[in-house]
Amino acid sequence: MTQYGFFFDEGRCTDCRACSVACKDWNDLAEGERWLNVYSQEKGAFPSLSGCTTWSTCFHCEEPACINACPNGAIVKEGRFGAVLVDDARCVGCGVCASACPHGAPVALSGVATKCTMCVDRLANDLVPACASACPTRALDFGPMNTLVEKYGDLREPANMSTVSTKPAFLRKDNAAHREVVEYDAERARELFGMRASAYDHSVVSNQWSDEF
Amino acid sequence: MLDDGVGIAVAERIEAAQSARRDGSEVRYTVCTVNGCWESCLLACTVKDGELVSIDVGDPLVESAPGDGFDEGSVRKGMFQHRPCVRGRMWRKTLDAPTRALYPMKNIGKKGDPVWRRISWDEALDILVDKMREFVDEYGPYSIYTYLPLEFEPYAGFGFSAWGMSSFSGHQIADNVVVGLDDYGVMGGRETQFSGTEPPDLLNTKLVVGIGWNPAVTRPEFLGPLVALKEKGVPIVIVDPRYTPTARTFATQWIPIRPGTDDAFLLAIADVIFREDLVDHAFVEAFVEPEGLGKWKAYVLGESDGIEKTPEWAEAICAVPAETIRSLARLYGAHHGYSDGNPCYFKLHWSAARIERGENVSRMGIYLQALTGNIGVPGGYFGGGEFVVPPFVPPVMVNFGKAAPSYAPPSLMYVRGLADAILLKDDVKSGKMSEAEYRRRIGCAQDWPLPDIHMIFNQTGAENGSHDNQRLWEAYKKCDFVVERAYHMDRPEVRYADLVLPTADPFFEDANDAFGMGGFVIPVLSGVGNYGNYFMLSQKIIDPPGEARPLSWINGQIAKRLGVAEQSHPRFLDVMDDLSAWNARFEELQREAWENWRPQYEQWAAAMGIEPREAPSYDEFLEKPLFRVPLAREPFYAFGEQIRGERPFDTVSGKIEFYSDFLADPDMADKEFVFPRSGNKPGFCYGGEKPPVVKPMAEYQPAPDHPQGELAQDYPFRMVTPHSFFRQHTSQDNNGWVAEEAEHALWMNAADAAALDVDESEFVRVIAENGEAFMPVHATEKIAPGTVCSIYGAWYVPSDEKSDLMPDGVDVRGSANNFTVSRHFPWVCATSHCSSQVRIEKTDGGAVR
Repeated sequence: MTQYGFFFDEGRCTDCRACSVACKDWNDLAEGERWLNVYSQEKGAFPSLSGCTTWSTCFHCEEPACINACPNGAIVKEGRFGAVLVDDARCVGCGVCASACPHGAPVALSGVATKCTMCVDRLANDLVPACASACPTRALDFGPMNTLVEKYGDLREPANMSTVSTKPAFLRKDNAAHREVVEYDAERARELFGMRASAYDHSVVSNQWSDEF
Repeated sequence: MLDDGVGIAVAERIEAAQSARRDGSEVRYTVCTVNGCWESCLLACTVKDGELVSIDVGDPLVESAPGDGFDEGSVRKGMFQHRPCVRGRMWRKTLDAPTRALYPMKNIGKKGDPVWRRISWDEALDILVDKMREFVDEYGPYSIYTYLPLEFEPYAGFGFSAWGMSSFSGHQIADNVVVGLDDYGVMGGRETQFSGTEPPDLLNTKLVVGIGWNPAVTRPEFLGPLVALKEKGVPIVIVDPRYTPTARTFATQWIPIRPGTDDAFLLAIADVIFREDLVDHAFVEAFVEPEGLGKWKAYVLGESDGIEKTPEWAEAICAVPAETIRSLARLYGAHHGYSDGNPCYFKLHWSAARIERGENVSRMGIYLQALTGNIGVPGGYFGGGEFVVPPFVPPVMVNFGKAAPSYAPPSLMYVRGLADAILLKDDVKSGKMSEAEYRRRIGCAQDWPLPDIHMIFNQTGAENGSHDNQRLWEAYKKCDFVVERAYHMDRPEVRYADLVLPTADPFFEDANDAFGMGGFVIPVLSGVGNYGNYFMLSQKIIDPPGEARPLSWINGQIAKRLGVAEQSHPRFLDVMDDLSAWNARFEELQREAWENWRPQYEQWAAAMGIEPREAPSYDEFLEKPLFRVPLAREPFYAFGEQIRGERPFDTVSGKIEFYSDFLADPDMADKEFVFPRSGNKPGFCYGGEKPPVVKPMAEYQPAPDHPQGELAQDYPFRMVTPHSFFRQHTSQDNNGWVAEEAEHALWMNAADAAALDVDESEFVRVIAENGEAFMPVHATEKIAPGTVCSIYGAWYVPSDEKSDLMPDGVDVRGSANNFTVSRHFPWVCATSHCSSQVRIEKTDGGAVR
């Protein structure tokens, strides 16, 4: 079995959601059924900001927490691409997999768990998964993990991912930090914008919603 | 746990289920054109039983891996896969929305509070044409407003057009008087110059400074160059009141700025450039008119008005620290594209000029690029309202065989003058307003006939996308008869119509293309700056639902009833009443156009040494209708001809003019604004205000709605209204998938929200001088204090709460154009104000998400 997986380059991702919509379209997902999650978090306080964009789908882990958790043996790892798949003949929709998965992949909405299938139907026709083929900035790549590691380096399990290792078949390249091209006194800027030093919670975190609407 | 047998069996069941969805389907191709981006992408659409099953990337170019294609070499040659953006991917949910307009509908209630009755197409078209005749007979040929002239008008002898390309706002006057380019003339085919940047030219730059520029969202055709520039380490500085996706993903550094104050920022940069002599002297000596430059230099240095426009002066206005302005000016001033070959792409974008007095900041954008020698050089940028690039590969043109027009719909008013044209008519009749003042208000020159609008025949989208919405709805209610071509019945415009005609979606359900050119989509001619090396065919891939009909068919039926079809639709006469044959006729014309194009292409390819030499057959092309050759020319950039000495700038002096004698004329207010050169350009604006407010050279001239001005005392927040990833202007707002990805809210700085005691998701009342809305707050660090943002494109949804400002109901969605005004346009060119001042009030309401 050759383990296939995804590569995500945060430095190219604009959080445009083309991947998420492509997934919904290709797989004809129901309302509220989401197999792919992208969201951006704000970091820092105005004006010293950076962003952190998270992209996650099922990572078709080498040691899937969902398979271990499923009481009915209804999740399997298939032998061609290493895709982790829900067996809808055995799944009773208990949702334990959804709780167990540290990446939020399985969706248990209506009687049967569903999740990213690695687009095995597309793979069988020599196409890559819908999300990877859709990305307008080429932030996503897909292929055998060995090939991806050779191409991008071993960028597995970066610090901001779950500490419980399920050995996701996933490489992530973080965006480069901003740097000063020209000097910038953030305190002076805050003064100019009329910001009083006040106690308020800076830790505002964007949720799933894209801001650009 | 790895059990090959079970795993593969499960995989095969999944494959079978997906295949079953696609059993008996075929893949058809169409084009998503300029759908909020300025890109143009081929869509591969799986169609089964006449329904769209899914959309995929249609571009046949095979890349080695999904993450590949944006290497500099491929981008430079335009040889990468054009992938539809999220707007292109979401179409299925828009096309099969339950709100699709299916039948012609007559309003038997009243405008603003409609009651719809379904009628037949025959009845609808008869009503429409009878009304046209009635109004033309009684009120003359300028009583019907159609936004853009429709196909039958040049033969039917009525109708008028409205001048102005409001996208450009202040850029229009700047481009005209500074570099001699008529943006509106580019649209009308009267210009011989192109002003766009072909995206690979960006690869030549050494420094990017983008002001109010968010290409990650609005310019996907620049994504390839941006990725390449970022990854090879070219510094990208983004100056914007918001931490946009462009700032987050592509900027080396983000510099927040107070919106509406870019003029102060640019003046201070100029001050440093003059003070520290960072001017590209060789460029300036060759290409800049010296007397005007001298006047502006004296103004910047404080020699003429006693106020030097230093970074210290500017920082109090724009909130960018003085030392940052100084450092940026020094870095920028070290980039002289002309003399030193290290250009800067200094991009003052359209948004910065879409303000009152936008003609000042837009001129400064050009001045700075002139001072630093970055106009008309590779990797530079001319600084103004860029627009279109010449084709590289010869385009395919469908021949409709139309007769020579017998009537030219005249330009009679400014494109955003519709509300005033209708609402002020009575004041003129009663004598309360002079005709001269009326003409000033609507942009109708002294010697033009007056419009007398009694009927509007429009396409939904134009109005919700126009500023000062409430005034527009008022005008619609007053207008005798309003006909809307609609895709969806829940569009706000539909509420104000007397008659609705259900329209086929132009990308998927129409054999013509969205621009009515016959089907072939030439990206460079439909975009702002696109690759000239490819074109595609837009096809009808599914039938429209219900009785929706393509626009061309609607125009044809009107032409037939008016008795002009022989002239306007000569090649469609025998298929007028057979919709299927009507659509098929396009396919015949497209095939014919292709055959005519083949020898032209082959001649061109031979002369240019381009492969392939032989044009493919039409059937070959149809398999995947995208034709492309490697871009084997220097990527196009504006004004290269002038810098190479091949032609002068089309100004009085033949050079770049910082000072305009034309605008300095004390009688400017009474003049019809005609571009002061060549003498053969039509007037397109009526200069109006007395004394003239447009300065002969760009100055710091705070507008009445300046964020630090008088209006801001009562309306302290600056509202900005940028574009969305998810909407093309105002289309797709009702798309169900989008609602799962994004929520429309009022962005507010978290500190401002805390000071107002407003929590995340709490509804507030957003009040401008001319409109108001209830909106949930999104408290964020990603926006400058004092600024709020309602992303443009949301539809007006009236609540039950009526107010003086909103007699039809306070908006509960937060359409951006509740808050935008249009008081600037009387005095110069077409303007579009996309920002305004608002105040925020707490409501009793809690979090509603």
